[in-house]
Amino acid sequence: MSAFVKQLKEGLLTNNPILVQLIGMCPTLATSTSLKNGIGMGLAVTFVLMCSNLVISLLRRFIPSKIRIAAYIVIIAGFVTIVDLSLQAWLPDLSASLGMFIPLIVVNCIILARAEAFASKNAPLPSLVDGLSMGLGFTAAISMLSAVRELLGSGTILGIPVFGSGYTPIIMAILPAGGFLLLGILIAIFQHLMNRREKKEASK
Amino acid sequence: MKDNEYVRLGGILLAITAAVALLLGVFNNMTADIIAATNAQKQLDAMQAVMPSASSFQEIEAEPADEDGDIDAVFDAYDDGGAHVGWCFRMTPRGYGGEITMMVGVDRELAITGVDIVSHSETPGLGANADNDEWLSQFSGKTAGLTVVKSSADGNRIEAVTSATITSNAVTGAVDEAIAFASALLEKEGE
Repeated sequence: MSAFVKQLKEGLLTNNPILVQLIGMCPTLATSTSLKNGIGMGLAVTFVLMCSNLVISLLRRFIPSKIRIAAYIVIIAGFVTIVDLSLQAWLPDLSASLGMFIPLIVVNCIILARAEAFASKNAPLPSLVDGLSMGLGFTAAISMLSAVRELLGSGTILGIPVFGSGYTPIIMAILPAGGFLLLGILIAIFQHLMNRREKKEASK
Repeated sequence: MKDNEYVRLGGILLAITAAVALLLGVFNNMTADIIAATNAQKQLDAMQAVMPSASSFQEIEAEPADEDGDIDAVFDAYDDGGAHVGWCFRMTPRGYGGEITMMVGVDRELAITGVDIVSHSETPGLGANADNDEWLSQFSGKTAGLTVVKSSADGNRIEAVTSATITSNAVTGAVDEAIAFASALLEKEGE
């Protein structure tokens, strides 16, 4: 149980894919223009990450290391296509607003990185947990970023206006440049909090 | 010995690929009908939105005058009594962020009955504001010869979306092209 908690903490905080490892930046910046998109993207990545980690871990002795990357990509692409088809069939609105970025999960480096660094070396259950933890870490970070961007850039949260009609949206927040700036600020705040926590623990 | 190694690696990759392909085949079978139905419904909704007086639509084979034009498909629109009331055009002009898919309704007086944007990838907060009923409603009732202006619209002038001239031009150009093609279709009928 404690191993589970430790893994979860790693994905969400100490080794968060976006805020610490700084991987998967492209979909993070591109789809975080509204909270709905951010959460949708986060959950889609989490699902693919859990499935691909599990399958790759199960097949880790069967896949020769020489062709492992090709094999991982085929497995990942398979799960991404399943997510893409499911969204088109059952959540067409979300599928329309995420558009090209769902198929592009295939080349999201978080997924290949976890396959290579974790699932190919660990047993199925920890790999599944690693997928969940990294996926949730990604979802948490992209949701925070997209909430701030939607709030500043459109004056809404999940499409509901919060500031009343007098608010002039800061359009830059939902443009790429604003995305980079806000992501930088988010990472800075996060690192500051983590450092302070570390110092506190060290002085104890 | 070396040859065997390649055959083995290829075989393993083939096995993985085949298993994934099989899984996807099953999944595609499950979702294909639902996706087709959703898309057909979306198209019907868009046509009904731009041509409220019509109740049934029939795709027609029509050769656009301009091969490079933005016309994707043409539909005849009929009302409850089966009388022809106009045309719906599915247009795909190029916006700022890529293709915009939109539906334009033109009646037999060659006036716009409505414009609806089905899908687009314009910049959120700028070009994406074109996908707004209030902005699109200014097309209703307009006739050929549309121009985009930055001040308030009157006559056949369309007020641009703020900071999104390319998107505004793309949408307006497509609407104009739809009217031109409707007029060609009307002429052909008279012959």
